[in-house]
Amino acid sequence: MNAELKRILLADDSARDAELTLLALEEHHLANEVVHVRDGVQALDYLYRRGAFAMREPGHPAVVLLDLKMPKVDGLEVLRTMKTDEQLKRIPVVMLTSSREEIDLLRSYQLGVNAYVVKPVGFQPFVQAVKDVGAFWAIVNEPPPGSIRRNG
Amino acid sequence: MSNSRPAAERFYGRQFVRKIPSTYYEYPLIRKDGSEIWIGQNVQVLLEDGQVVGFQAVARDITERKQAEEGLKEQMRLSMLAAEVNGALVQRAPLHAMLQSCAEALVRHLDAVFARIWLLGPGDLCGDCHKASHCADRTQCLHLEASAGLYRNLNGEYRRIPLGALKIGKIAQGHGPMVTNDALNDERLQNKDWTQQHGLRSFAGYPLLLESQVMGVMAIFARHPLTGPAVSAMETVSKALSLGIERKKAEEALQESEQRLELALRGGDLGTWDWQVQTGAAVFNRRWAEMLGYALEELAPHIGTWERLVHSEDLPQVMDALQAHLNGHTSAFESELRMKTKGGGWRWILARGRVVSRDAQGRPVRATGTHLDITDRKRAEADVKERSRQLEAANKELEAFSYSVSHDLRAPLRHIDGFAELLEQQAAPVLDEKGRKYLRAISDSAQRMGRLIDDLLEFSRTGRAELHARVVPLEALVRNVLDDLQPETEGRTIDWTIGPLPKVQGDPALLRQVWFNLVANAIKYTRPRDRATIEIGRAPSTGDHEVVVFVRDNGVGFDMQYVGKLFGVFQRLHGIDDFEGSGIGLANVQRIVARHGGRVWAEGAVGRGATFYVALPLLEGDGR
Repeated sequence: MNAELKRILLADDSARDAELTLLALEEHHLANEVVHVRDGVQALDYLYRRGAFAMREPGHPAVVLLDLKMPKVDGLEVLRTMKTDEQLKRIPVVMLTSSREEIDLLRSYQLGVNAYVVKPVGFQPFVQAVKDVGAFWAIVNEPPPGSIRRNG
Repeated sequence: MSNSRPAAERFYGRQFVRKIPSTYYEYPLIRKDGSEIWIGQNVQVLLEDGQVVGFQAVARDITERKQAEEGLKEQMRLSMLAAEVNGALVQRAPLHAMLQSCAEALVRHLDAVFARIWLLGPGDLCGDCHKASHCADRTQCLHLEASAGLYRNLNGEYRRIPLGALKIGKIAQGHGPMVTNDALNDERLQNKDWTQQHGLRSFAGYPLLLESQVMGVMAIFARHPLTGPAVSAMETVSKALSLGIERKKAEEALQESEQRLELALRGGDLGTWDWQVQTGAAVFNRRWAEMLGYALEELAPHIGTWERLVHSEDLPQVMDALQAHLNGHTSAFESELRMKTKGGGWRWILARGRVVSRDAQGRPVRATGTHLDITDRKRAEADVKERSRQLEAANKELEAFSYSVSHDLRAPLRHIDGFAELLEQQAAPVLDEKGRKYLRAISDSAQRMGRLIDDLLEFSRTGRAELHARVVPLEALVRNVLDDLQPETEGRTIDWTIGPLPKVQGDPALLRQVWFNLVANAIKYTRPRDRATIEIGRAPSTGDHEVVVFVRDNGVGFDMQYVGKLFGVFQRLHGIDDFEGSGIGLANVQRIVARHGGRVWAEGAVGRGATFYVALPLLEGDGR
């Protein structure tokens, strides 16, 4: 597992979704800045620099892209853990999910999510949405102190 | 001489004719001053050779003795009157029977020609009353209730007498009793001819008073003068009668209320209990016992009977509630509990009661209450609970299903579309037109399925969403929908007619979906027309409890044969290549309208347009 600190943490159990997401991010040359993990446990390991990520460089990603439905620990659980942790709660979290169920939206915002993006079914709108999310959070947005900066 | 003279002459005539040597005869005489004296006369016939030659009479004034005798006789009669009246008053007879007995007693013991009793009551025959001109307010008058002696009917001329009219009305109006021994000449009395014809000499009328309130009048006519004792007996009777009437009325009212209570208890299927808290004695009614399958006689009249029959699981809670009330912590005792029947089954009982008396220390002495069998209600409640639980479970399942659809079904579609597109990019140089067309078909299909899923989820949400109802002005809503649909009408010629539309009660967001779908359909299905006409207006409704609004177009219409399919989910009457759409729009319309308590229907003909009607419950106060 790559132990470098990357600017984007992508947690998505679907390899195909991840591949499409990376393709979309590639258009802003952000694909190399992405660490892809397959479930919530790995996501938290990365954030807490433990398990497979115990040796990674210190610091926080500029943004975390979370799928909702993941094995073991799901996206909402990761979100809750992050937002109740003094160290992690300032990291922007974006839900990137297939669900537009009201209950998911509600819970995510209650837990303090920074953005919620429904992945469109059509590829073109999907690419556009992911590009926009990547561009905003990884390029336009000024991350909180302690995050790794572009070219930083 | 008084009119006793002819009788005396006849008496002595017989003595002479029959040659009876000695007689004693008593007769009254009226003196010059009008007073009456009694003569006791001893007459001896003097006979010579069988011939009457003279007689010797010794007359004595026996008035004193006679009066004493008469007084005694009268006293006896008056005490019999009092006894009879008292007897009538305590009889368990209806009021009118009691009054009639009293009138009979007056006639019998006062030797009256007739006696009558009127009671005050609401004016009920005013329309026919020929004494109405005497009547002051028409709210009350005297009703003839009893009549004895010469006149016995209650439906004659004097059955109703206005207050203040005639002697009776005047007595009732507060003029006090009226007594006269000179009926013929007393100017307070009318009908002198009648008085003379019947030889009436005296009249006595007494108001029936209770705490100076007039309740009625009793009166008698007699052919003899009324003595002082007779008059005071009348007064006594009038007082006793007043009290008797009052008591009888109260009794009748109580009886009526007891009957009502009994009926209410029976009608309400209530058992009753009456518990002497300190001794434990308890009286249950028949229904109380029958509720549990017992005959009343089978149950000991003790509170222990009740305790023994209460379900042991319910007993602690019941006793807590009871104790709380006995201690004065609650204003009443109420508990739902199970009780064992004679057959060994259980009935649900709603027990209610309260302490009705306490001793000086505030300890409860007596408590009474009711039992109502609520077994059926409890069963129904349990059924409803079970149904609700099942429904909730089904709903949860449905929710879980749509949640899972939302998450899991969309992802593969995105992959299909995504990789088809990537393949097209990647393989563009080696693909011919046909190959690219296949890839586009794959993408189109995936996207269409995505829309179907979205629409289906939307439809499922419509059914579950809470209604946030308020007053919605339909006209503004429709105009707003038209603004949104503006892009769809680009390059088209559409004649719009939008009539005045009512206000309705409903969820604005959901109702908006209804009109959006209907108007969008009208625009869509008139597309083949060079000049489309779309009319939105209010239709006359069949009842006065709903408003009907329609959307009419001159589009392609539909075959009425398939009208039943129009509002079904994913039902389409046109090919997807002619008119786009998922076939969920009208299903949504129907579901939303149904959730508002309304209904939708449609009329149409192929090639001749369609009309969609929406009926919604009328907003209160929205008259036509």
